[in-house]
Amino acid sequence: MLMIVATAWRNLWRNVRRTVILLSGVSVGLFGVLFYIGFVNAYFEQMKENAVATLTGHVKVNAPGYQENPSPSKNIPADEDLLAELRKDPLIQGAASRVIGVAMAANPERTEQVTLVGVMADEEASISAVPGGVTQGRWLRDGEDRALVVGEAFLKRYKTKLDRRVVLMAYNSQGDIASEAFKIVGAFKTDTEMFDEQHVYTSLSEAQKFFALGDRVTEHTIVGVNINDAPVVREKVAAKFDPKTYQVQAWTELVPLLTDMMELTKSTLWIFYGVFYLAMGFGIANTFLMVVHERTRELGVMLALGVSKGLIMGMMMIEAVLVAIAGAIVGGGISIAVVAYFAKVGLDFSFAAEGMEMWGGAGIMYPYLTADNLALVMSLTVAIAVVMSLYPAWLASRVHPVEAIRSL
Amino acid sequence: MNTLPVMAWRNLGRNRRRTALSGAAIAFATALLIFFQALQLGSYDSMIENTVRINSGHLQIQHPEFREEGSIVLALEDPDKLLKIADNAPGVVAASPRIVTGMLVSKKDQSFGAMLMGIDAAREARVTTIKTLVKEGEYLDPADPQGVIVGKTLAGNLGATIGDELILMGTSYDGSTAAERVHVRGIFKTGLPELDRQSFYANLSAVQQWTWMEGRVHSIAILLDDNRSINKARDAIAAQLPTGEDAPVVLDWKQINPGIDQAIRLDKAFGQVMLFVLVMIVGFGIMNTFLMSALERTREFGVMLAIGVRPRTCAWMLILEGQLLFLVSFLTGTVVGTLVTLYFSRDGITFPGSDAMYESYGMSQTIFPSLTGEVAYMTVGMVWVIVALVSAYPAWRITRLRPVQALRFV
Repeated sequence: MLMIVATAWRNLWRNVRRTVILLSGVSVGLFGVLFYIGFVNAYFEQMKENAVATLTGHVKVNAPGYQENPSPSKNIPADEDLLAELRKDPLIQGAASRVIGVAMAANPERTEQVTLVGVMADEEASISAVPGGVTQGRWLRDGEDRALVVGEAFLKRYKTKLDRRVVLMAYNSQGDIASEAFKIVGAFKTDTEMFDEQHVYTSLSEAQKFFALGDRVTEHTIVGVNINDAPVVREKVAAKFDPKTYQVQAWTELVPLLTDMMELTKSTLWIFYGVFYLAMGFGIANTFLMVVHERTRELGVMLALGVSKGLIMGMMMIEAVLVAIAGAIVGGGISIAVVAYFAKVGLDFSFAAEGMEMWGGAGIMYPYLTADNLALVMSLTVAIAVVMSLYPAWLASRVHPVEAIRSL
Repeated sequence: MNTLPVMAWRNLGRNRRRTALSGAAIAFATALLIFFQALQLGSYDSMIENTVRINSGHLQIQHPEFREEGSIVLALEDPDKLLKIADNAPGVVAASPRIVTGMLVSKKDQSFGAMLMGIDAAREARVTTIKTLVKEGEYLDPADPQGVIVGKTLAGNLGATIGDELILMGTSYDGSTAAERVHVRGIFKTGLPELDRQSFYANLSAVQQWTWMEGRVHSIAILLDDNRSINKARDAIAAQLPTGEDAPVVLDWKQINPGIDQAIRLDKAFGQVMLFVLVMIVGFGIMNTFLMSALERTREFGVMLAIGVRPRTCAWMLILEGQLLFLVSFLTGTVVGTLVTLYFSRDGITFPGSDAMYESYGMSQTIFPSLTGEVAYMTVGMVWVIVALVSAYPAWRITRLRPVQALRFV
């Protein structure tokens, strides 16, 4: 048995050019799949980041039932000390409270429903892209009265500008009508125009006054350093809040449509990867068949010397496995290098993202690969390469010695 | 020179096995590329289909300023005539007249702003999936003019369940206040937060009465049999619409949902990357077989050079062989690829987990591969370039060959 392995190994080195051709077939296929997976990773990462960038965050703490029926009447205490503890965690980038409620926004031009978001002015930047997206005027200050920061799209829709007033009207948490005139002090722009049109920001204290909440809030939002750690962060947060009076949810539970869509898209992609593998497998089988054909005389000699058919087939299979493993390693190395290169320089997709409000800064993709991706794709590649070699190897063992030796 | 094609042809016939393997590589690449592109096109079709079936339809007839301004007075006159135009246009499956206007919806002391859609229950059910998205209670019934169906989040916000009474307040066409008492007949869930949070539907004739809109609608949503009929249908409809100032216009789904159009364009860019990767893989497969067979034939070329054939002639012969092989295998691959694609496009390819998706959001993830002329000539081009490139390298190598060494090569 050992001899067969040694023979197979030597065979590979005997005709290096042939081995390289076979090996490259495996590597290229593997590289193709991994390169594309790198892109898909970047794409989903961006989708996730976009989905949570404004209001959702990674983990939310609400009063039970708030998500089903969001209203300021379902509120929770400010829990400042708990949030301060969370902020110290190295996995957590920011934690802050908000008061969110719907209101009618009116000026002489329009009266429409908007979402009023009361935020901790200084902390908000650590959990949301909105403060960083201020393009006109300024962001809010803590404790500030009746100041409003609105989306640029809101300014356009209401045909208004900075320093003008907007009247907000809503039912407060007691069921009474609240009405207040706010001055627009700033305007922001996010990647989603619809969001900008429908959300207006004020200070937490002002929103608490407006909705008659005292010092209570409607939610705490926690953002981790890495969105993929959300399940861990969720556990950490859940450990601090009593499940009887609080509901803790990760972003995947908060935006189920997106989560479901991404899962489905990922499984859909396997159909396309399947086509890649099919192409690769066929290329390998084809090349291997040619190899067997080329080596007919050599195989004939071995058979004539009394090597059994089983051993011949075994030898060919071992060659195939060795080539497949070497090809997978080479291909994996190339993939890691190429993906790492593009992860550094980024790949400009803005030609496709031209004028894309939804994707905004997402014009540039930074692909990356995970260890799971590598392990899965490499082992699948080796498996497919081996399966596709079965037939050529079997064919090799069926060579007729006399005819084979005579053939050229 | 005339003997060259004959020789090339005979060479192909001389070693049938080698020819079959190289030919199979080309045919397989062709078939795979055809199927793959058809699959991609099919998946865009299904994305578009899902989009238009939720709300917008493929086309909408609207007042030219309605989309921007959304005011109730920007209405279409004589909807019956417009409907007839739409129904008779080529490729139209169904058309549905709608009123779209903002209302304040209240239940006891809770009230929210929301979009009221006045729809023709039967016609709307053929254009969008709204009927199947009613998860509690029932869909609209013209015999129940005060019945409305409400988005799940909106119903939750109002604390409203089936049978509950709601008060609507809004503006009428003549500027007066419209106020109406309605009851919740059904609750729907589209999975799209905007629709579930702020929309509700009522019967068109009832809404026309409430808002003094008799004989007027805001839009006519049109579903086509295929998104490739959009231009034809749009032109046919536009040609028959009245002209003049404030005359109705026809918008397509891209104008109505610019965000989704952009998402699909991004997806297409990704599709290009994917196609490039596949071309690279199949290209490599073809190249390997070509390289192997050229390697195998080194001695043969040595003999040819030794008896005085010019290296360039030899190289041309090899390229010609590639082209001949391309012709035959490409045809075979096209037939196979087309058959496979047609087979899968009959029932479509459904992905695991998509039943749940359909259940929750009314979106179908079944992809029907779609064959178009574009697929055909893209494939011809790609495979030809691959074959030309991969036969050029061995051909170039021949010109560098030394007869004596080549003759010794085993």
